[in-house]
Amino acid sequence: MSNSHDSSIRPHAHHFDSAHHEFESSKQGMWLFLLQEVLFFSGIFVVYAVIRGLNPEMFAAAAGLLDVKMGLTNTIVLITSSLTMAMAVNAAQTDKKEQCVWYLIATFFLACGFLVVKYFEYTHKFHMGILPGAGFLNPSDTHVIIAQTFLISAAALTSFFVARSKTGFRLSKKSVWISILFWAVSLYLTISYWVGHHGEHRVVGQDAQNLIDQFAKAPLFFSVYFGATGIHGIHVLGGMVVIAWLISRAEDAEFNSKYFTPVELVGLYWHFVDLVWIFLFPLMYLVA
Amino acid sequence: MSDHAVTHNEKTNYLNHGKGIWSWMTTLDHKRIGLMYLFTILVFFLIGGIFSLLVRLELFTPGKTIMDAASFNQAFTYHGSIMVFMVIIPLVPGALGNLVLPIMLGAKDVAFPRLNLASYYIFLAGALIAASTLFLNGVDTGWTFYTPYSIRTGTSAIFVLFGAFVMGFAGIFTGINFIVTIHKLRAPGLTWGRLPLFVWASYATSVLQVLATPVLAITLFLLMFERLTGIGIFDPNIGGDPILFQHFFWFYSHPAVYIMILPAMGIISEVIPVFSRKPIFGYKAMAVAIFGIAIVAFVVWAHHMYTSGQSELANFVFSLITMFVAVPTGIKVFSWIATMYKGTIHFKTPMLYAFSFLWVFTVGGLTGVILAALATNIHFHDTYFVVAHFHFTMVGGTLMGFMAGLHYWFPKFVGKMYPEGPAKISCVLIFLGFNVTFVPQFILGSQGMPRRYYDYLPHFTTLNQISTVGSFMIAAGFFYAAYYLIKAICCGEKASANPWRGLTLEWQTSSPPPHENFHEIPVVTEGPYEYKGDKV
Amino acid sequence: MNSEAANGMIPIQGTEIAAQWDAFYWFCLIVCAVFFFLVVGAMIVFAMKYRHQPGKRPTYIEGNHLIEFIWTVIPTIVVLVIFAWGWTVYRGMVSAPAGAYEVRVIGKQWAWDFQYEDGRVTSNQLFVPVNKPIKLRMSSTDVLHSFFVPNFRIKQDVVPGMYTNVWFEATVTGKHRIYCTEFCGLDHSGMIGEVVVLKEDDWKKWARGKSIQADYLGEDSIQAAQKKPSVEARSELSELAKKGKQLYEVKGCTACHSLDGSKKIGPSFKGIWGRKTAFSNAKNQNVDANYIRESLEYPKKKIVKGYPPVMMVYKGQFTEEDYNALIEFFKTLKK
Repeated sequence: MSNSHDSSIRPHAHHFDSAHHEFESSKQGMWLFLLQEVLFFSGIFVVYAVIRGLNPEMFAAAAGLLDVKMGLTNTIVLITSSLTMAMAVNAAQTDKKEQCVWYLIATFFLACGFLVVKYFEYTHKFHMGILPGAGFLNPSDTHVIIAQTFLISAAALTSFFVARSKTGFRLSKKSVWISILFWAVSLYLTISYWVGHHGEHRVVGQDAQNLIDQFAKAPLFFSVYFGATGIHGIHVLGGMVVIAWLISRAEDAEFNSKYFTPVELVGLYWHFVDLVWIFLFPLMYLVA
Repeated sequence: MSDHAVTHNEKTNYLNHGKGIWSWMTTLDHKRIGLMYLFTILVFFLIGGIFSLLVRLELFTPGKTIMDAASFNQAFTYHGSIMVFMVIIPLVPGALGNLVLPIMLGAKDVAFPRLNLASYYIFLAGALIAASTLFLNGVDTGWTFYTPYSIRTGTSAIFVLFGAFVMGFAGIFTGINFIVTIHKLRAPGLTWGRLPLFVWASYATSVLQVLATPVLAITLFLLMFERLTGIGIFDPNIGGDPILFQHFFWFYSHPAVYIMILPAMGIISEVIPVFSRKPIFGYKAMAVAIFGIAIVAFVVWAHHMYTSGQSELANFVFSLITMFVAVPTGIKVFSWIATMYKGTIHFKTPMLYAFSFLWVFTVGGLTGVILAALATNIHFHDTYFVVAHFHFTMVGGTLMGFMAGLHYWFPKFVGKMYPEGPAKISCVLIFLGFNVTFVPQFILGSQGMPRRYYDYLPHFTTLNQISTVGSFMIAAGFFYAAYYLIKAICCGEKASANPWRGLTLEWQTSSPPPHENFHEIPVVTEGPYEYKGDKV
Repeated sequence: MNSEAANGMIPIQGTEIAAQWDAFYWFCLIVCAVFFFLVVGAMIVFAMKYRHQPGKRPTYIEGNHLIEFIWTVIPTIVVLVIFAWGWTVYRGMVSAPAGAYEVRVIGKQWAWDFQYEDGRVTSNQLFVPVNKPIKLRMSSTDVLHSFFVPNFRIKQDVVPGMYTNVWFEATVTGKHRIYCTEFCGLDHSGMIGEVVVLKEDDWKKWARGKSIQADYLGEDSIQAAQKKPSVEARSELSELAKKGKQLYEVKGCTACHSLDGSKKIGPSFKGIWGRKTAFSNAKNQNVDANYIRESLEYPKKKIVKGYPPVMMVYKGQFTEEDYNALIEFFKTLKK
């Protein structure tokens, strides 16, 4: 591509000796961040272990109410998104700008798909009366409001990041469609919930009632389920916002073989998010 | 150490490089960020201190003195939460660490300057979120938020929980920043074996921040969702376990106390050699002891829970392991004393604070051993004995260490000297006031006075009154310190580059340092405590 | 009068264990004082002896392996001794002797209820005979509390949803203060009670519903407690156990559980108390108070081997008093 002393080579920060020095330091920082994320998720896994250890029968019975097909779909979607993310990193490392952009877009789409599947899974549970803890058989709008708040906030952040580019607030073509897509999905999901279900909190089917009759502590399983997958979902959402930012920067030709640090670091984060799901899926869905 | 005389134009330094408030608000300079942390935290210290005076005033007499029980419960909760999350934890790393660490390493900045600025704003945002509850329904759970009370209380606990959650990220990001800075940005010749102990202490503290704080995050997250949606993990009404909350909470909060003390110990390890003109005694053991303390910190959390209802086996294990914290801590205290042996000691304010630290922290540490033992803990748990213990270690340890560092590095970062006479008076006032406040509390605890008590039986009155008087002495000491420090900032005597003739790298640059820390990055050729020949 | 007037730095020794505790505590204090004087004493001596004077030069010393070894090993030994002694005293503090008189303690915002073996209930005052071991089985109805008697050196958190235990044998008659020592809300500092330790004869009189002269309590007389206790011989059921049997009959337990050993849908209650039981979904255990309560609230948690998991959930259908009564009843169903 371009030769050494021109403007396409981003200068490294003044306190580093070289671009390589900066890259290695940035990577170390990212690994440390992922280390603390491991500790964070460990907490929820400890809660899982304690509740499951004390209530093995209840756990197995309650897990039977989860939809393994949807969980499996999400697993495949997320693993694929990890693949496209890795391809995006590789494209950045080898000066393939267009490929990098498209792979990042693909990752974004797949992550979006993950959340859409999650949305249908969660709302189906709500219809069955399955909510965490005190909400079990006691549906209210609080949970939905919380989820929708996260969704709309992420959409807003995504818009901000794709709109902002090196030369100011200039909307680049592909990125703006990413943002529009996210807004469309978020608004559709939000509005359709309220239009369709406003005022109604009917509970469909006997499964939840049967479960709690048999195991009084069953709501705890769903506390762990919604807590763990919910926190994971928030991390997916955060990842999507950051990926949208990368798409915008990639379109601006900011990444090349001399500088691909942000893509690499986000790639590390995304693989971590995928890894957490790979633990969560069997522990939650496959213990029935 | 290199010995360049500072001959460059000293008119431009980091304080006047770039003018106007916007240049400060968007600064990427670790020194400016350190100052912003310092001033913000000192404001919170004032607020937390006012709450402590309110608490002590109320406790001047049994029954109602100046407020009702509901307000009192909020007052001690705010005192604890503000002091823990907004002062003692971020103080030394955020303020002094940011100012000093990169320069001490011979670096131009921390590894991630933008992350550093973000850390500050995240800290500020979290603190404001928590403080907003003062205008809502307040919070009255105690800073430990034990369930089920913290689930049931009608106050605005959720914003304090969320504020602490957000502030935790500031600590994590600072920790990440410091670790990578220490790994990647050391000056040429600054090998691991030549690192000053303040750097080692900051390193261990940063590791604790990165590993322990996320556990607090998940704990607060679960408790927030408990209050919002009733997930029930810690609520016995829904089958959850309140003792599980305590395990989660203390898994972070015990390492947190070492996050509080280790940086202060690092400061003491810098001050004593400089003012004794001798190397630190047993450098290697001192560095190893720091990590010994940090590692043991992670496996002793349930010594806060001997009476919680956990098993005798748990009590046995945690008491035994806790005892082992005393060994590296003892090594450090003995080594500091030994450093003074056959030195030539200069009685400057930083050294006076070091003396205060040694006295007060030793008491705190020894009473920690009494509390670690099972039989004694049963009687003292949740009494004023514990309150006295943790104030001796946190105030006597961290705060006095901070004051030593503040005075030690004041000439470097302000470019002016503080007045020695008033500083010494303030130190003595704080030291005496501290003992008058908290020694009676050991006795109150032995006699059985529980903590977090709004009202108390009449026979506890005298000691409570002495304690209250002491608290106002401490306040007077700190207000006086604020006065002479502000006066020195505006009109103090100009300070030289190395008024204390220290050997660490920050003294090889001008006072105040230039924007990029060094005009020329020094090359290190020996350790930081080589007080030999004409360096003595 | 309350014993507080006699308290010095440490409360009076209201039990024999308190004396053991005090001996250990004085040992700890002395050890700490020794280390404090060593450290601070050396600091002061060095500060004065080695203060800077013109012409004086320091001695360059990097360390001394022998000294460092000594001050590593000796404190290690000292803390281990402290640990071992502390553990030994602690064991005595938490191991109730067999046959202790059991009192049920209910902590709530913001008072203590005490329920005795014969069904009497007192509030905020715990009446016990001197020189007899007393075991307290405690739980809370709302938030965490903690039961603390400084004179006895005992303390134990009182937790909702589970039982915790503490025991003591008072050796000093009189009134001994009880504090709640786990923050529990508005009137946390008002949740104060007293252990009233009576001479054995006086206690028996009080238990029979008679008021007593008790000058050693600093009061003219103690009124009798609320309910009249039964004076039945040991082989008959106490009032409380009778109530428990009534509950067994009216709440439908008889449908599945017999008293005479015959096998119904559920296991027979004959000889159940303390019985070693095998479960199909949990480890073996002996039947105790916690298990009884758990079976009523979460019956599916432990299914007895050979029986189907069909028991109904009784969570929320019994008060604390009901649970006590049922447990007293079960206690009479020993082998």
